[in-house]
Amino acid sequence: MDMDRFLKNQVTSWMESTGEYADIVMSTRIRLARNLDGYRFPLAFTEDEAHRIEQTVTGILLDADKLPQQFTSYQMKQLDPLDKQVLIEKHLISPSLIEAEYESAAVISEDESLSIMINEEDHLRIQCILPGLQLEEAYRQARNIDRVLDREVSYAFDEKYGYLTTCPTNTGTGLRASVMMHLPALTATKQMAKIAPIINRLGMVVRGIYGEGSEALGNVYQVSNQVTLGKAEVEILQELQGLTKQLIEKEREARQALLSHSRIILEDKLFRSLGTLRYARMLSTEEAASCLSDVRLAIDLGIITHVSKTILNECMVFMQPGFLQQYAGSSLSPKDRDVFRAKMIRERLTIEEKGENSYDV
Amino acid sequence: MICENCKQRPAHVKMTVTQNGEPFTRHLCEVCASQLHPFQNQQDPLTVHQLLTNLFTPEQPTKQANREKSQWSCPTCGWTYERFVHRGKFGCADCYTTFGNALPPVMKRLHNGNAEHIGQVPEAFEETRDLKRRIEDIRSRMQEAIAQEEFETAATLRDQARELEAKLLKGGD
Repeated sequence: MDMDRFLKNQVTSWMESTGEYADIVMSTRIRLARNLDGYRFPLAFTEDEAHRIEQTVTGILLDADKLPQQFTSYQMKQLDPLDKQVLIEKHLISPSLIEAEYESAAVISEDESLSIMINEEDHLRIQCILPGLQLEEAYRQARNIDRVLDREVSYAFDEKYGYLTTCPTNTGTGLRASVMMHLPALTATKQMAKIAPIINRLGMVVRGIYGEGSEALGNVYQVSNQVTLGKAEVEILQELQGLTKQLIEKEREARQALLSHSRIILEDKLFRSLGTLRYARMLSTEEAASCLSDVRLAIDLGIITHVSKTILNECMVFMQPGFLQQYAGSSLSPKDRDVFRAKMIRERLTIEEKGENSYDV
Repeated sequence: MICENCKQRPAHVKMTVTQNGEPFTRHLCEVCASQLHPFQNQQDPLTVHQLLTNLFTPEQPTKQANREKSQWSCPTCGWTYERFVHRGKFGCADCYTTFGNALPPVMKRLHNGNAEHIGQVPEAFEETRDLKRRIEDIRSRMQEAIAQEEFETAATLRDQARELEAKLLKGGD
């Protein structure tokens, strides 16, 4: 598959609104950090080591016949900057992969649910992203890739410290599990600020995804484990699953409370946001995110019925600078981006409404 | 009125606290209030780098321990202890051994008190781990056999253990 089609075919599998608890959990991500034995870690290795690692791992993944999907390899040094930006915005690679000093690459599966980053902070970062809450399944798929590689290479491993990684925060299992959650009602009722410190005490962390700082853009949060040493993988996954389910329950309660206490105020706010998205000619990232979050909440509550649920997942990704520029077919100044962001969202809504009208005829 | 907390200074601050959903009022002096107030006492958020640097620096290092550590340098990647502390990261797998003496407290602080891996191991280690467990098991059965003067059984068990040990050595290279 060529790069162009790969990227123009924009909707990635994790943006679908399938999977369990998809009304609140947008996606699940599993990441395994691994290093190869006999090579220095990326912060200290030579150009030659980087090259050999890249060749070895890419070779194994592209030749493996036991893998469930077809994989394609992308060398970061050979990719166009905009294409790299788009891969970052789709969460298929990390910004530090493209900043790597020597050879770095990403090997990505056909449906984009699996991606293996080579020579990021560690030699290997095996990642699986799935829609909804699917911690076990995402882990199973990432672990499958891990097993295939384990048979062909030998990993840097220590009986006491487990899988050895560049950063001591990943040592042990090398496992980072995270769920991306849409929590508008908990945010509106100011409960997130109280919940965050409790989550920290449980060895997990919650942060606003997209954009740093205290405010979570579009009320989207990422909850993930922090402890990787001294806990088995199953235990890490179960704890995160338990916490996620509690957050889902709290969010649902808060939504019902908002509805029963101030239904008309809520409806007014949510419909106004739909109006903004439908008619605005310029939208900043913040305004777009906040309106998209409102529309998504309205869909979940059955207040708005003719817009598909994937709108939040998709538009949050597509409204980022890289995608917008690909959509426009040229580079854009920040002001132009606001214009194209509004245009893209309007068109996205129009497609849905045309579908709706055809039923009326 | 005297401060409820220190019972020394006069209470100038009236603080309303909600506990278990019930509001109640406390009368405190300025000193105690500033220590008890959840917001006034907050420090600037630390950056990850600062945090790691603090973690890697023991609270009150003796001069001798410092001199010793400053001489640590990884034979594989050449990283010094200073560099490792400064970056908060490892240069290679052997750094875990080179700086090994400094690691347990660091790992404990990063991982909620844990400093040893449990969980998945690579296939190669799985075999070694299983072999070691089997040898231990055979050894303890051999001791039992000796204690009960069943020397023939003990000899068989000894041979089995030796066989497995040979396998372990072969797998190790």
